[in-house]
Amino acid sequence: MAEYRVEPDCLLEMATRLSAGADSGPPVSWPSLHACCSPTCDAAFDEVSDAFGVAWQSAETAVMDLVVGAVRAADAYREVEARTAVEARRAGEVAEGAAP
Amino acid sequence: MRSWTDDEPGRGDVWPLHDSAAVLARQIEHAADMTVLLRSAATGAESFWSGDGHDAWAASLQRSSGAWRGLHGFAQATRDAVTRYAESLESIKERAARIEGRIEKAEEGFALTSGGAGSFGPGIPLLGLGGPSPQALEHRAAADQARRELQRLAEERRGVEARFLADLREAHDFRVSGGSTTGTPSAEQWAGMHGAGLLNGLSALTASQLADLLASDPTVGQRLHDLDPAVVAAWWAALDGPAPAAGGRRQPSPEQQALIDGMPEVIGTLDGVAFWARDRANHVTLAREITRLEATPGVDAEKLAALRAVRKALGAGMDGTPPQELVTLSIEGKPMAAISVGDLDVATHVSYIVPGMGTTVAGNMSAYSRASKDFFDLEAQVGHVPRSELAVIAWLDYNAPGATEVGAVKEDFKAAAGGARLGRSLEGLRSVRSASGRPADVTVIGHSYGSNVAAFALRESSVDHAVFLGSAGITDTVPTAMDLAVPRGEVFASQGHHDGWAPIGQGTSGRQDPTAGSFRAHAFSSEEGVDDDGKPLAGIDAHGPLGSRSAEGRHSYLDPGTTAQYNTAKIALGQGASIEVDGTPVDRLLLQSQDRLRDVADPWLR
Repeated sequence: MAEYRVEPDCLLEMATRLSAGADSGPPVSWPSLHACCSPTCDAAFDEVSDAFGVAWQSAETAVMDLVVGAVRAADAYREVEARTAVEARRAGEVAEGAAP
Repeated sequence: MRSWTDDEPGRGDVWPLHDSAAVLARQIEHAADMTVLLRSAATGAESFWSGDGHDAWAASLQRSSGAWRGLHGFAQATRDAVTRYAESLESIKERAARIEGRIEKAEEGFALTSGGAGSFGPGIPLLGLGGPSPQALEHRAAADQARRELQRLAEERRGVEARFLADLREAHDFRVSGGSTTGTPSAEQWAGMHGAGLLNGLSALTASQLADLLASDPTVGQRLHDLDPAVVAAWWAALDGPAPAAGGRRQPSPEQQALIDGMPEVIGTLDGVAFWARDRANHVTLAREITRLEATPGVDAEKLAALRAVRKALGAGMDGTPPQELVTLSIEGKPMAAISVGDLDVATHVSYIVPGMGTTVAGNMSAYSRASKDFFDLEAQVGHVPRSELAVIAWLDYNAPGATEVGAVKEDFKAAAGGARLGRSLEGLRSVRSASGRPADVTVIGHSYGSNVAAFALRESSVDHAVFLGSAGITDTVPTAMDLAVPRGEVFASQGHHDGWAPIGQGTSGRQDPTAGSFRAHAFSSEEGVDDDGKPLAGIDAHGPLGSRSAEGRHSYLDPGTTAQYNTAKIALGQGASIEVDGTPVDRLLLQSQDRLRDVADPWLR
């Protein structure tokens, strides 16, 4: 059976770092070359620029997905942890009540 | 903007290109940062998160890391294309402006000398009475000539734009072929990959995939070696894992480890790869090749002897004090290798010792490594420099003429081929150090035929200091020291008056003596003398370069305790200007005359 282990604080800290890293990026668009080369080159550069922009945004989204995944894992763990604590307390109370 | 035309090939602004390059530079940096950040997150998460959720998350992270690596290469290749186009366009604009100026001047001249008669347009006849004056005709011819040059410039610009388009296409294709989102490229795609696309594609493979690829397509290695070392250095640095702790040794990232394990012969000799990684890769190649040859005794005894010599010279390698790195190891044909004493990734002062004729890895690797260590120790002592700031390379990475190949010594072809290898090695060093932000002060020390090898290399590749010891002559393609890519006053040469072989090398080949005034190097003494503390130094009495450990106990240029070695160390530390000018051909002639007089007088004086 797989071993499950989560340290939610560390997970959240890592998610924060990833999020800050992704947010710190420069603008994705490139300046137009309209003023310096032929229309063919200008169009080709625009096309490459668009492709780059799409790939860049997709990479940024993927990082944010990782952030969301890590935060959800930490939240889920804490939620279960809280529920488990409540149930443990109830179990204690039940046991207390059942005692002679 | 109106597009440029054949009449105006210089039309267009360069600043948007520079702006784009600046934006791309920031994107390259960010993509590299993201790769490092994701790698550090992957490593960190393993210590506090495990289970199915983590495994799925880690797999996504790996894909994300690949995407950022891909973007890094994409942006880098585009930035290179933009920069190259900007440089070409600047040059075209500059020349076009000059040509247009000439046309304007010729038109003005024509107007003044033709009395205003006729049109000046090319191909339209002049209609003035009695025709134009000879002066006017000259102006017209000058203008026509300038217009033809403008046409050629337009052709050039078309070529430059075609190249720019091709570069952009390659930058774009790299994402398709090398990016992590589209899976492993096909054999056809690999065959068509170059530049950043190839590099990024390779760094997405496992070690076994890399080994398989290299076996099925050996041209991959050559295509990598054809790359600009600066491109390789930037790619390799982007693959770096977290920086090591202070005093710790750098560990390869998973991608780097895969490359080292999967294609060690390529990574170990690839200029632009960090030296710690080349050392690791070359050790893999060395051990593997020795094991293979030992399993088939007698098949290639000469190669086995050479590789064993390398292993012996390396000693404890990076664990030694000082550390030693296997900088390069070529096992195709006659083995060639270079070993550094000191850490080439961090040393402030780096010196290359380039040997001359008769040098082989099997016969001389140990002796040259020892000479490097002696030189390293002397530099530390002379310059009061911490040893961690020094590195000296015994560079036996060219096919030197054999001891009996007199014909080859007279010729330059082996020096030219060696010079090309040395030049590339110097570019690799500069690129690695530039990528790590730690530039090095570099010296090339050529001995005998090695001085000619160095001269060929330094025509294009720049260093901070150059020293020619006992030169067998410098190629005529380098008329003077000023024609080397070395700062003024930093080319030095020395030849002892007891060195019998250097003049023979110069005389039989017709090459130049670099100590001669006409070569304009800083000549210095290799004769007996004293160091800065008044301690005696020996003069050289053998061509060498290493003689003191021979049975005869003679001294040559790189032996400890000699004037030549002492002065060379000062030069490598940037103190060459303080060395007295001495050791010119006239100085040697005087000393040789004194020797002869002494020989004649001695019997009479006894």
